[in-house]
Amino acid sequence: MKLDMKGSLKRNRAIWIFAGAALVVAILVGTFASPFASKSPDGLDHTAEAKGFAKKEAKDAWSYAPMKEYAYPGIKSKGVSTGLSGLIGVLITLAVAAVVGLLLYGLGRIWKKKDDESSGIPLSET
Amino acid sequence: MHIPDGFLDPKTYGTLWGVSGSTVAYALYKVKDTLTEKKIPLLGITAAFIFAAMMMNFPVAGGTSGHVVLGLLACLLLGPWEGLLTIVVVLAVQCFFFADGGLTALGANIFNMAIVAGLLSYALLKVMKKPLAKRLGEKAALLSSAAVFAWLGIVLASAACAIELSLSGTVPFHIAFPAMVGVHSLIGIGEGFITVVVLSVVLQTRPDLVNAYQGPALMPAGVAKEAQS
Repeated sequence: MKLDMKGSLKRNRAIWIFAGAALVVAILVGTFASPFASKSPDGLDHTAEAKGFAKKEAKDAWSYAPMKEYAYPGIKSKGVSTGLSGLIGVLITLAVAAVVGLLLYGLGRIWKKKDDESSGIPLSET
Repeated sequence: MHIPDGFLDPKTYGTLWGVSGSTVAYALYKVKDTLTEKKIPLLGITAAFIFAAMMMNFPVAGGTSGHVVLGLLACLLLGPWEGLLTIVVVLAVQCFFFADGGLTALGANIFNMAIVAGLLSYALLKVMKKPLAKRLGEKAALLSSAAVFAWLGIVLASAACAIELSLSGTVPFHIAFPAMVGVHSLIGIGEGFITVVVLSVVLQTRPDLVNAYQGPALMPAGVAKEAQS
């Protein structure tokens, strides 16, 4: 049991190191590479323009997005504005996904506990 | 490929909200068995990385750009249901904070990018990988099928998008379909390339973090290299 704990801690530490390295890459890409992304319309937008249905685009049903078109408001330099919104987006996504993960993990544990309590005999044995 | 508000009519986006909503609900239920403690930081990091990667539009032919979705990659790294939820988180953040993709169309965008380009292409990959692994070995089978199905996932997602647009009466099918599938068969090459690059980097450094890898017992990269030489 003791050894198991130690091994698990070690493995998890390695995962945290890997996750940290991947986060650095994500932040670097989101912040410093994103201003250099192509500004051309993407596949759908280009099709919409070429085939004449771009005009059907309606006002945003959700109008509270703070960084529309990946631009941090109030910054003149487009590059800085895009980079800053990219950085914030990476951090928001990280936080939301981690919270979702934590909640689901917690719920899963509660659920499993209930299952263990309610079923005395494992079904697989019958 | 993010559909804005206005391109889809209520019956189409309503249906897709229903389909995507119930798929996400099922995924939330399914992950209770597979979401381990060590996957939590990986879930966050994968979502953050995919958000950054989706910002990187690359030019394709004729004044058009494209970006990766990496739905298949997320499923391969984390498992299908965790992968699906990862893309859903990214799409939701893009919609609510960046107005990238409309709120009415979020169900459709989840369907195209998380379900078709993620879950479906993962399911197809699983079928194809097994016989391939016997001939090529696990690692080569995984990488080669990832390239093929990452590309196919994007192409199928663009086909789904074209069908949704034509069902909504926005643009006739015979116009939308060739245009969307044509440009996305080029964008899909980028998707396949990035998927294989990231997958092989992770396989090289921490193969135990690739959920879909079912190869022989794994050694740390340094040890494995020593054993080979």
